[in-house]
Amino acid sequence: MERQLLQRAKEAFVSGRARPLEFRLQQLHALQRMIMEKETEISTALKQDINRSQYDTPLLELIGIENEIKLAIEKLAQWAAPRPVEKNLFTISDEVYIQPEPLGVVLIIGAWNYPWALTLIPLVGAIAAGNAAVVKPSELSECSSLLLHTLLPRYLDKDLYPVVTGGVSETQQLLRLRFDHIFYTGGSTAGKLVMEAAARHLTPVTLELGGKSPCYIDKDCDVRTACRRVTWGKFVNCGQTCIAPDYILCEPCIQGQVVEFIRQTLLEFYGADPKCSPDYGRIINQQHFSRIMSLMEGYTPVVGGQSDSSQCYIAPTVLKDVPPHSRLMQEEIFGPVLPIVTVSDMEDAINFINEREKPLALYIFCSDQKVGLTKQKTTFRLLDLSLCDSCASFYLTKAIKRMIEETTSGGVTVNDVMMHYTISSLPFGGVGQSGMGRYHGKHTFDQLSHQKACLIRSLKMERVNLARYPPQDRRRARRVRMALRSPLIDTSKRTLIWAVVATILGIGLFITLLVILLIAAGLNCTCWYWRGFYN
Amino acid sequence: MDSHSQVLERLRTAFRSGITLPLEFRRTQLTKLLALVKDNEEQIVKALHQDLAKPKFETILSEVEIVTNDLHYTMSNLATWIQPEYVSKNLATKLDDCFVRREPLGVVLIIGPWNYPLQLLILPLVGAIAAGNCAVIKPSEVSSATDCLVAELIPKYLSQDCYAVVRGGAEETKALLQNRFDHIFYTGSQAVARSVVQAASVHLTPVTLELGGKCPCLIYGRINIQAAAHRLVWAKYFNAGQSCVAPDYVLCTKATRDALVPALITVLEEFYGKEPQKSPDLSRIVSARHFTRLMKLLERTKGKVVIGGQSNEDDKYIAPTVLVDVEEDDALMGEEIFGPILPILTVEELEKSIELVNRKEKPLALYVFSDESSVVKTTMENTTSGGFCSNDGIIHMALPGLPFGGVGASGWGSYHGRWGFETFSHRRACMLRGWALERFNGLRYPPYSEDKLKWLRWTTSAYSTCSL
Repeated sequence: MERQLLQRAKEAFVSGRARPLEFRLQQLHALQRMIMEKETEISTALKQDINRSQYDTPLLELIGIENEIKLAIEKLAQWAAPRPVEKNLFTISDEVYIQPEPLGVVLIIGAWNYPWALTLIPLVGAIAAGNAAVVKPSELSECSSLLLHTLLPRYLDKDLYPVVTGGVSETQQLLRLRFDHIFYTGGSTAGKLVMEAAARHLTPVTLELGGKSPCYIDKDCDVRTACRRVTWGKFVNCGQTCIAPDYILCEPCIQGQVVEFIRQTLLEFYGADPKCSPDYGRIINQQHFSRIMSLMEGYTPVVGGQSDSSQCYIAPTVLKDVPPHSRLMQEEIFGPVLPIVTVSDMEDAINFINEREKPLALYIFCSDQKVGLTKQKTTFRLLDLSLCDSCASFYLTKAIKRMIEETTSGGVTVNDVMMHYTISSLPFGGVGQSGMGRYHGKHTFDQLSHQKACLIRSLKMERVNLARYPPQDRRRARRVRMALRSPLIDTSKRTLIWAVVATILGIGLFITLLVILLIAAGLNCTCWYWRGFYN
Repeated sequence: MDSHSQVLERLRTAFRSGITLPLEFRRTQLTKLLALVKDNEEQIVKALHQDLAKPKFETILSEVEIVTNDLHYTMSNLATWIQPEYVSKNLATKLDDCFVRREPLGVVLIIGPWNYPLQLLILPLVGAIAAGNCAVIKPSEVSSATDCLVAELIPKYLSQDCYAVVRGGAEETKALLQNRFDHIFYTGSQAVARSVVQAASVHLTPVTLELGGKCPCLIYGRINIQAAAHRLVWAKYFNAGQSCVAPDYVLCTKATRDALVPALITVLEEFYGKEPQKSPDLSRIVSARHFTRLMKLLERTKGKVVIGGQSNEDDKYIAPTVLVDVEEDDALMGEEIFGPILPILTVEELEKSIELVNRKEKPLALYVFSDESSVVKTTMENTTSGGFCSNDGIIHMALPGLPFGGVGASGWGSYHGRWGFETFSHRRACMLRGWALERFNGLRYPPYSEDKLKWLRWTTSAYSTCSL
């Protein structure tokens, strides 16, 4: 069955109908309509799958998808246009550019924690790039998966974008087939299997995996605000977010404050009994519920800890003084359990982070010491003037700069959590065990396109070419070396500035020379000013 | 001799120390690499002559010049490439700093092939050094003289703590691949590429694959046959056809073929004389194994030899050969030729040729020769390939502004110039928020309400959009 769907998608792609920009725009508009018209149904499905509140759904998924679609519609012509590049002497009269092209049929395997965003945002990029796509939503978010299976063919081209539902065996069937790109969101273990399967057909992959995203809270920062932001990020979607702050690193002296502020914030967000709050989610299924509960075994939480397996409910839980080698610190928690690990200082925190696998996200809470520059920067930012790099780096305090430079991660948000996900101009993706490739906005388009290098020459001026043909001699060789020399013009900033300054000086000198010559020649200038002056 | 794990440990320790990060270090290493190539030009020419009987001109052009050009290009632009890239934002994040940092990946592995043993090993290395990584370099044992030379010179010029050469054959490479790297850059064949990706998948190591394929060459429409013949012959028989981007086979009409063959004869004689074996400008086949492979193809083909066909096993010499009346199912059309044998297939319509090309795997390069721009445009728009060049061959890879890489079976990823730097970098998205406007953040916190949602929709969907 999967084979037939793939075959149909391939044939539809080969027919060329996914290629014209008008078609792609039409499909994107249709997808946009689907999201807008079916918001209620989608919310209901998510409520059944993961007890997502009706506000969390647009907030966490639908607004994001809508914005991606709007951006793609607005920018598609620009993204798909040829991109000229610089030439050398040899190709000076030729056309040299990069032409983005579709890859063919893309396989998109979604995840269950944000079943709509993590499936449809890659799909937006696939459509925009002119590909066909087989969409495989996660079976764990069953209602969403079935709803997508029903809705997508009603709005989009049935042959080009089929939806395949099913579990592990259907996914394995799909992975045996040959695709032109596989876009996978999920865990690292499954990610390895996807890449191994892709190796058979030499299919390139984009893997959006996870990991333990550390959150460092400096003792000198506004700990209360830091804890509010961390609490939001950790417990939204019941902690089941790939970029949720997995654990906190802080010095022992503020650990008590951190616990207290988180407790207060939780009260404010979800009330005294989060189980009764309409805004607090549930764990996706029994298996994950048991997994998270077993991670906490042997530890007494300082906040929360209550659970109800019949509802897959785990209260927002915080544990302190967690040992670095505990089970809780070995695997990605992916649940509403927040361990606090104490470190002696920022350097200790940096070493702690670097000893572990590269995470998908890193969060740093640290005070801005250079408040004086902030106002000036504010004005610049509001006017959207781009600051020079040296100005911008003032804003980076020494501490923040150090932490960013001495660690690595998929992305970083300083003084907040998860927000780097929200800007489509920022590439979203992992590094090392947290994934490979990136997407969002134009990055998805580029990831799911082939950037074809094009050189358009003519058969004229063959005489110029003669130098490169055998039989060879030293003189000819020298001519060819000269012609192929790159860069033709040194366009580095320094040279460019000198070139501009030199040109201005040159023109200035030239004008001065002209004026001197004219005056010396005693010519009657047409300049009325001078006439008036002499009169 | 250090074992693989000892070498890797040394490189990882060096990388962790942060020594490869500063711009000055990268510049110094690139300068030393430039000196390596410039100071040892004669030895490089000698080694390549030993391996492939490569003529001095070809070595200078395709092994020395292309590397020095890329080095100059990289060195003059590196300071710009390293800078954080500031990006556009939406209303909700107007006061924040949003930028992309290019960070090194760690310890990378570069596996080179034998056909351009220096270029295809050093060009990726340029990108790796520029991006601030440490690198393990594995030259091909098939081009043994160059293998020796690289192993001797790299430690003399580059930092031994950060860059190491590992030598050996298939078994050693397999063992090397069991180790964990932060990126693997492989140039070679599809069969080996599969095992490289499989080994990489164990550690979730990203890979760049520069493979090959059959690069078609379409000749249609009105055409200056002499000029086309010159360029086709040059591109095809450069390095005796052992280039991943050499035009593998020609597709043209009968009339074009009848005009082309005499032109090819003239040009071949012009280039290599009446006895090509005596010409100093023609390379040889790299090994006995490949020589035998090519001779078998010539035995099994059903096409007719119209030019060349002579060979000499001791010399590993195969004359520049052209065959006509080759069909799509011929032995010569079953695999990448990678030798000085050019089959010409006769297909009367351009559309049918395009269909034939599209039936096969996506090639690394696609060539069209025509004086009619409509022919060029139609071919370019209806086919796909790693790179595309009209009215010439190979030369598109000498431009550092263009990404060089394949698609589908011809590979994935790209390099040259800035593209090499990007391949070996991680683009880290950074957002620096302020402490102010916490009230504004309150829009996203529970308890939720319809009002909050309305505000959020508006602030997050300003023209530079966002999600969440």
